[in-house]
Amino acid sequence: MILRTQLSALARRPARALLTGMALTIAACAVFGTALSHQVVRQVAVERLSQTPATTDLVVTATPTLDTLRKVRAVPGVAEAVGRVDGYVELERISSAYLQVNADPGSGPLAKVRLTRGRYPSAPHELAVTRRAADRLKLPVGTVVSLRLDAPDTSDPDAPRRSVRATVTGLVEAADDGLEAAYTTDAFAAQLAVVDRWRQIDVRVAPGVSLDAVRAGLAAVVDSDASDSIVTGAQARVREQKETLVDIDVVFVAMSLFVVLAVIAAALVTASTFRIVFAQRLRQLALLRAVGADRRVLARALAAEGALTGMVAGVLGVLAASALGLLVPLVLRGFGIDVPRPGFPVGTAVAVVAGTVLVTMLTVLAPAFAAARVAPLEALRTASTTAGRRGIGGVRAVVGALLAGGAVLSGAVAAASLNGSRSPGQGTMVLMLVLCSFVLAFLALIALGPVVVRPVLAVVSWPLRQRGATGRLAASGVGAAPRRAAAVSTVVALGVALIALTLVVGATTQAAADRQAASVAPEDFNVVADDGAVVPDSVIQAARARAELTAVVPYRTATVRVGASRSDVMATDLDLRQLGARGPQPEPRPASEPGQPQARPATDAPDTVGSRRVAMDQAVARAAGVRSGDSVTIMLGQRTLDVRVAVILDATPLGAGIIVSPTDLDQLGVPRGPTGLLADAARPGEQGRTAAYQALAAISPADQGLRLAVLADQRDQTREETDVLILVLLALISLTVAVAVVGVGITAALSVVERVRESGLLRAVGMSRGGLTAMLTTEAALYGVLGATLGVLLGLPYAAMSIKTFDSTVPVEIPFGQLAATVAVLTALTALAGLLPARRAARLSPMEALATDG
Amino acid sequence: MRTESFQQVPSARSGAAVAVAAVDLVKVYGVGETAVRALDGVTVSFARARFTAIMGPSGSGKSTLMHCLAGLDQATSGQALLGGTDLTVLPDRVLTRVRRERVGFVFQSFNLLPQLTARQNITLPLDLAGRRPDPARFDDLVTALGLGDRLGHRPSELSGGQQQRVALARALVAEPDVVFADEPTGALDSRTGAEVLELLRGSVRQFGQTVVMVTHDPGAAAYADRVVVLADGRIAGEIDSPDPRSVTEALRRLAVPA
Ligand SMILES: Nc1ncnc2c1ncn2[C@@H]1O[C@H](COP(=O)(O)OP(=O)(O)OP(=O)(O)O)[C@@H](O)[C@H]1O
Ligand SMILES: [Mg+2]
Repeated sequence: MILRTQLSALARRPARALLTGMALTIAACAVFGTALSHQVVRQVAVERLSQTPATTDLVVTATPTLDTLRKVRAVPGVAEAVGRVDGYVELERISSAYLQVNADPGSGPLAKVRLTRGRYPSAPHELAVTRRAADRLKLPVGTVVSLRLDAPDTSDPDAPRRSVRATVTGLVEAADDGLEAAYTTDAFAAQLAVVDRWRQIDVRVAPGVSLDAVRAGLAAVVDSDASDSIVTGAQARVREQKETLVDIDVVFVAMSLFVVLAVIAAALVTASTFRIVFAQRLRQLALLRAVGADRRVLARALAAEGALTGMVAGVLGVLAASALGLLVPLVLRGFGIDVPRPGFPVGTAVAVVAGTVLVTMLTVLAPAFAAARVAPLEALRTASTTAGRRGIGGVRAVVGALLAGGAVLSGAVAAASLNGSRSPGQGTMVLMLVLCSFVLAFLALIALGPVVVRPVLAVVSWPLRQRGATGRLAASGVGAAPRRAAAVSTVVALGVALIALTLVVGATTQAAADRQAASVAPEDFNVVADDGAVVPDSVIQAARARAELTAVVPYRTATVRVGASRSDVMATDLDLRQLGARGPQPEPRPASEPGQPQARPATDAPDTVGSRRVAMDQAVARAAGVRSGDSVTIMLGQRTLDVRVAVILDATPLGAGIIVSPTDLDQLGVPRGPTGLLADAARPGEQGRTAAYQALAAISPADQGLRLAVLADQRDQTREETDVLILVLLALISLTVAVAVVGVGITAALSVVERVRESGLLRAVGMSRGGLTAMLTTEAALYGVLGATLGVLLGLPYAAMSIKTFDSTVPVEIPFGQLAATVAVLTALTALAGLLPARRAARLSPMEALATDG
Repeated sequence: MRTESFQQVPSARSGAAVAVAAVDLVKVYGVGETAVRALDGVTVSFARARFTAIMGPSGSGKSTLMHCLAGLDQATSGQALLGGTDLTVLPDRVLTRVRRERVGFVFQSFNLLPQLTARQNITLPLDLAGRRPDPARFDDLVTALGLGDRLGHRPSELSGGQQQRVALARALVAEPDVVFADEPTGALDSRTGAEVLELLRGSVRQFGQTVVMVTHDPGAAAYADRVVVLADGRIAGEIDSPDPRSVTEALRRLAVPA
């Protein structure tokens, strides 16, 4: 009976039920969506990224050569055999550019590419390229290009450079269009890429011939253990698929971690929502209790209601994900990307719905029992808001304090072991401690939320309260229900803490990479003479004369040996004082303990290098067993030179192992002519860089044996890679943030509903429509500000600690701008989430609002 | 004591200036079959610095009339004149100012915001207008209403009578042109009710306040200077200088159950 009353209440207000389950709907959608995309990605990987065409019968993998290929073709029963090459060739250009080289028949069953324009190469000195190669490397059909052939032994400086010319005869489309690749006949491919870069030979057996017979024939040809090196096409494909799928699965496992976070956020939001919904029905529940309803029956009815909500949410989430699964391929097709439509894995769908119901049951239990404990007398209460208790119970306070204590303790232990001496393997343990501390701190925040929220609210709402009645009312509205404010802002805090963590770690990594790049690539351009050649004086003079260039620094390099180490290192006489002002100033380093010389950045070094005083890369120093201040012998051929190590650098320009003075190089017998030239673009930005590039290309044509490397581009590229990684992480975290924002929206909507009479009263005593909207929106925004503030406060120390875990010397960079932007964006988002219910409340006339049955 | 047909009502007693008036006011709720004509052409005026009671059977349109005159609700046709301004043609933005600055309202229940203290509730209209309360008037009011030691309390910590007195203080603090009170004693016991009525009458006598009050209780109506009787959305009559007995008698004569 009671169940029926409750369910009919639910049926009368389906919108309310949807609202209650909304966070779970999003979570279910995310889970099922991840499952669907996993399925699609696996499918695409298996179909498209497989290296071996489906028509291949046998695959010879035993390091084949052109000779092997010829023999294989001669084996009776072999209809077609295609050698696959996996190599690169360098274009004969001033700035280095590479083409991936592949062998392919271009047509027939074993072809992996499809010709889209021109003609497929049929003879040597002909290439077909992918569209990307044609665009990026400017290789349209008809271009004649010089390709550098590496001599097998490149260490011989006197070996003549060889190059071949080839004509681009056509454009091809390959399965993986993301590469700058060239396709040609196997013979030419073998000439371009060196012999040992043959990967495999795909064999198609003539119809009617026994596979085993051919296999036996092949085994005789490759004369190695046949069972290993000759497999069927199917086996090869399965092996390749396994490798790809393992990679894909790892990515999806990582993704699932973030989905799990979103599910946790959704569970927190839903628990809070149930609390609010049940509190709003408190009088009704009390009335039921007053007329004799049993407490347990009541609780069971409420829990059943929760289960139903969970079921609806789960089904909706699954349907939403499926709808997206149908929609996304359509949209992608619009962009020319062909993606198959996901199927509908019924088992997974049922599991997702069941999981949603389970999570809902877990979240509804505590609120249901709390609500069922209502005293029958509550029915007689006239107070219209259900603000609930303000503080927290004793048990909760104790649990919260214990959790907080645990968080501080594990954090302190982690911090202590960071400062102390490090032993290998300790890093993982410290990281686990930090993680553990973070989880404990978050749980403590959940437990102590209502107590924590009030002082934080008092601080963050201070400017608001100065601004007038609307702000004051909004602040007191949030403050009147601290448990609710705590519940919803805790979820926001979770998202923001993760964002803050990512931003700080990202900024620190970026800054460290920048410092590294500033050392390694101290200027924008590097012109290098080929082995044995020098940069002509005319080129240096020309470079100095060009207005597009500045900080032109010629240098010499030589390959030397240091001390007892057996490996060659590069020595250079690059004058650090002449380098353009690049990168950050010397970083503030923690004072190093005496006797433990720290590696230092190159920016510290300029004045320390002199005659017989060298700067050394820290890896080289470690290999040679050298410390700062030690003496060491440098050898070049028969000549030796004793020098002192003035400074050890943690990164050196040009990747040099040792930086010496020009006189030292002279003494080692290195010829006078500079072997390289560094230069900066005179003007900033892309334009300045392009102008400088053209200037350098004009004064140093390729036939003078000079090569131009754009160090600035390399610098930007590492930057971009870090940026992309940060963006991906932020995108994954945004799922949790979205759930949190929806939580704020739900809370705002429910608060507005329950406080509709309050709104009416405010309007009756003269609050304008805009004022009411502003007040209610501000309340929602305050949830966001609260959560964001807590999140940043929580995230920062853990960001610092996790950075210190990896490298205790790196100064932590706090991106204040980005953090402020995060808080601002969250405030705006939560305000937006509150705007809709606020406008609904403000649309009611004061009398309609007052007449509503509270 | 005299009854009149509604055509003769408009003029105010004793030539006093008119504070609020309704002219042929019509209010229809809903549309079509279910439409309810809550006010069916009401013409009535309320004199300045006088205490007027509105009586009539349940559903006769008393609350609706007050809401329309206070700018809380939009009339269907006719005029609702507040100090000569027709509220029915004003946009919501202006009506908001009217409510804030020229009208005080006391409801039967739920008058106070639960999260604000008594003091904050009293000054709410002024806060919304961005004004500070005149300290002298505030003190006078608080003393007159006997709220001196209750200002820091929240509504949940006040008795019903105290809550109603806070609501009264809020209605009076901005010195409005008129105070409307809809059954202000409905939820109170007779002694507390009498206190509130005394206060209302006191504000008329002491501060020259205009007060219009809806009540079902002839005893409460007797505190007023004049009683207007409403039935079926029309003025059914009025009583000057009422006392409990004359009111009951008049209501009975009008076949209006109190
Ligand atoms: N929001 C509304 N929608 C529809 N009808 C309404 C609405 N408010 C009032 N009414 C109708 O208008 C008529 C007058 O209502 P009103 O509240 O003015 O009566 P009242 O005289 O104040 O009654 P009471 O003494 O019971 O408070 C009634 O018939 C009522 O049913
Ligand atoms: Mg009424």
